[in-house]
Amino acid sequence: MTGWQLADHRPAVRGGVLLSQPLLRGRTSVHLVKDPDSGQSFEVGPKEHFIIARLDGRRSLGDIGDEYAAAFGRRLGEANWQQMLRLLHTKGLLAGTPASAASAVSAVSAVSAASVAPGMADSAGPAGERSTLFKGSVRLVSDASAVVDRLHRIVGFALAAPVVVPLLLLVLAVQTVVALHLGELTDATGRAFQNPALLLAVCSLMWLSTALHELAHGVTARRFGGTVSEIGLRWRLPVMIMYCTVENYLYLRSRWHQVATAGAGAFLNALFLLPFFPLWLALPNDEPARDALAAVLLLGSAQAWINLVPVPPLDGYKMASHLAGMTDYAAESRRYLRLAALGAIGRGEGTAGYPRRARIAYPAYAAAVVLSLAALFTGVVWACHRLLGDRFGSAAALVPAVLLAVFGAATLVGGAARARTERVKRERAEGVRTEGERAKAENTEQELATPGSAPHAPAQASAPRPGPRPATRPETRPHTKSDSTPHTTPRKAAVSEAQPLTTMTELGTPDPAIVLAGVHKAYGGLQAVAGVSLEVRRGEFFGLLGPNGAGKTTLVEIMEGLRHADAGTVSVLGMPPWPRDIALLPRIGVQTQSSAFFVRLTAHEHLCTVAALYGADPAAVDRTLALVGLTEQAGSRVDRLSGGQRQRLAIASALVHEPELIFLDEPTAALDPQARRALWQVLRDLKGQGRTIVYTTHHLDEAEALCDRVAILVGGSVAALDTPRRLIGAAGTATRLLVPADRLTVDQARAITGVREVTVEGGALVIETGDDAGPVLAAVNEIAGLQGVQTRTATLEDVYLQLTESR
Amino acid sequence: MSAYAALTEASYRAYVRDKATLFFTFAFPLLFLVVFGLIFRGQDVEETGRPYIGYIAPGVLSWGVGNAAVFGVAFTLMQWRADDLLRLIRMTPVRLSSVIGSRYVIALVIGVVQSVLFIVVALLPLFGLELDATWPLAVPVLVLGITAFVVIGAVVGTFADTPEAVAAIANFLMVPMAFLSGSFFPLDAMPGWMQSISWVLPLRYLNDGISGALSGSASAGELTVDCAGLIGFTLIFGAIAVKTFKWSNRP
Repeated sequence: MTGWQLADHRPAVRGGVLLSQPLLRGRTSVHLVKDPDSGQSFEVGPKEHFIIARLDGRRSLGDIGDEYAAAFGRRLGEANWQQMLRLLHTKGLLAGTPASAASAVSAVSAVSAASVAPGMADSAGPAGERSTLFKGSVRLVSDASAVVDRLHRIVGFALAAPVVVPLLLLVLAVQTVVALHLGELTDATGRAFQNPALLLAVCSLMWLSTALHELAHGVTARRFGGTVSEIGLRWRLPVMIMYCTVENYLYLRSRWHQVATAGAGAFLNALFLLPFFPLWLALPNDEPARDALAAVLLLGSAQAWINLVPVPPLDGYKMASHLAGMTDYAAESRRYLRLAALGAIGRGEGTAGYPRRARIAYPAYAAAVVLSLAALFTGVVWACHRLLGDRFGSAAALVPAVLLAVFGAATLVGGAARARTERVKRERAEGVRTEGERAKAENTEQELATPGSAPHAPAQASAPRPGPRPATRPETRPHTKSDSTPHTTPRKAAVSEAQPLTTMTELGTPDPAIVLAGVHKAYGGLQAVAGVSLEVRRGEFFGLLGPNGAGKTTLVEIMEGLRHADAGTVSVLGMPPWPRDIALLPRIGVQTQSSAFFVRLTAHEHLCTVAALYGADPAAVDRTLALVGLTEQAGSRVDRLSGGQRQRLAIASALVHEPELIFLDEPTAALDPQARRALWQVLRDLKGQGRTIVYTTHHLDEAEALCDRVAILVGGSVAALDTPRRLIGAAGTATRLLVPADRLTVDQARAITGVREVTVEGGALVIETGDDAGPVLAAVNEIAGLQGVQTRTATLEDVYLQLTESR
Repeated sequence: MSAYAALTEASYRAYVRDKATLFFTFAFPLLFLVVFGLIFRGQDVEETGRPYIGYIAPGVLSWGVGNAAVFGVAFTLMQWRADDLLRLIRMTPVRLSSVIGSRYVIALVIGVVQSVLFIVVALLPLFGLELDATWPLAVPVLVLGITAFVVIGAVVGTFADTPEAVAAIANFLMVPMAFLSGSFFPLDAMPGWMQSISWVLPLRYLNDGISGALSGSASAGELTVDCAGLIGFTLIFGAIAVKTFKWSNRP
């Protein structure tokens, strides 16, 4: 091979991959790239765009390299090409490569598809999140694309210039008349508010207008080659609105098409008023319906104009962005103004490096925002005064003005605070990421993009950028259109990061799960816990035994952080459990009383709520119900579960968020033998996964079978602490022989050497011997034979009884 | 789903599945409206010459809304603590503001639905309530009123450990308050000392504010006083609720 190996390759970008027009982000120009199959989209620099746009399968990389050199005055090396192709490959954009793993990406697709919907404030995708009564969405049509096609066939003619221009003029004329009669219309609207029937009619019409607004976006986008993927209803009570998602709206060929698509909604709101206008003119003054018409005209016009305010997420903002060819217009504009202000007082580098277009567009945007908000403010205050002025005097103008100002200031402060925390969060995340990448980038001359590693949470991508970015380093990054941030995504990520369980067990961290040192707790005069010191190791199954009133519950509650020890130190997973620490809580699971359920919910609903409280994966709910054997009872109300079922649900509540450390309080107490054995297996599996389990029980056979170590608590202090085996061994308790009573008399048995005691229990002679039962067994064999003879060695129960009775 | 949304949904489901409470929350005030509305139908209050319904509808409405807020929150808090559910919540990494916020939103929604239903019925020609254009001003008063009674409910729910105790304490508070604040009889028709006493009761402010806004008889200053009174009660009882709150019935 001469020159470089890849020169003769003719790779092609997969069909359907979308490339946007150049957009300005701060100082740099970017293009959006979207994979229609996965729905993922991200940004690339102009150089990457230059190459991607030419990867058509006909040109060889050598040809493209020549064009690149001609355009940018620089040749790309082998490493650059490899990096570029690797980027396209990992993003699944090259023909012949598998579409980037659809399953992993599906959640992202829902978000990014929804976020390009014009006119929508909320970018939570319908498929991404479960609907609830208070917030959610539902699809209204199964094939939105076909519906919009049909609509477009019927009303599409109205989008041709010969129809639109006269309609636009007509709308403007009506709006002029409305503006001239503003006072009269406001008074009439006030009157309509006193008549509930009229008010209801006006509200219904307004809602209809909002719905049509969304369809107008869809049909206009369709006309310019867009695809409508969804039409549905979205609600966040008490507000419910229709939405219409346009798949490839950001990739329409011309920016005018985008502006038209974004503006179509407001235009339709104004158009909607046309039939009402002549009616309003025609009706006599004293007709009540005339008030309703006036209200429709006034509110409808307000609706149209407010939509045009250039503040995200309103349509006006989108129109302004497209018109100026900007991405992240609002945030970038803020940043430009901040830099300009700092530059003016001689701090920072000012706005050097911004292209001329940006120097006009960013201040212009800010001016437009200030002007339109001022207009809105004036309008609202004026209307309040007009309606209520004769009753409240100047207070009717003053009070709304102050309220609006306070509200506006609060929004600004809140927005700034949120932007700052997100910037900090992102900087922290980027700090981790870029170190590795920087090393890579330096190897490749920093000529080409370093691929942004994984799809980001949209919240991170849409937040304002920190400080100026080196213009020499174009980069790709996942892109979202909307400025609104779905808060759930980053939060979920944080929760899954907070459970480093596998890494922890892999490394076999030596530090103990729980350390108690000299813990005391008294209630009034009663010393419940008197100087307990113990350690529970990671991955250990630890049993706490002891009679009722020995202080088990109090001790466990101190470990859980529900109670504060009077004296001594407590450390759980390396943190003090008191006071309540929400960083520690997701790492521990606590079985509460079997009554602690959300009232009147089903088992499944209860567990879903608990999972949500822990920020756990909703899919874990069904898994956990199956684990404790409650799948069949999932739909039963918690108050109708049996005792054992309630207990299993309480255990499930402790396990649903997959904690590292699990506290169980007599988990097998109310269970039947099968359920008890099944739970043993569950507990063993949990231990097998490396989790630490601390549990209390009165079933000593169970403790012996399950626990790595047990502590026997008597009178508030630890009487014994070791493995069950060693405790039994150390206690030196007796072995018992059970011989059927008809084979041996009591006197015969007493005569055998080594026998300590003989009793008769339930048709059998119980012969108690010392540690070594061998000689006694031989003697019994001689007298009666060994058939039917049973040997019982000491159990933990013997140790327990010995310890607790001696006190 | 966020912790807040999950808690709100759980509270909502628990609420709508309790058919008896649901019925009484909405039907009880309507029953009073029917009784008083029909007894005093077409009559005016002598002292002011305004129709009786203009007093009684806002009065019964504010009592109904306040009652529902107190009982709802007190019962929930008492029950969650008795069932040890509060301890479960305490062991999860949920912020207290989410727990309180979710219950508050439920109370607000219940109050608003109650009010809309009640006003719609009162507007029927049979009862003949008339709304003034200032009615939207009743909304902030209503929200502040519900807030005050929610906080009072939280205090009741903290002190009462059984359902019987909740009912006893809440009734002891709400029934005399209803009479002394003019919910069932116009305060304007009552002796002066009674009118003075009523100023120490939160229901008086809610009552005044709603009736003033609906009938358009209140000035901006009067409405401000009503709102300020409700905010004051919210702060006082809020401080008590925070101070006395307990996670568990056990020592």
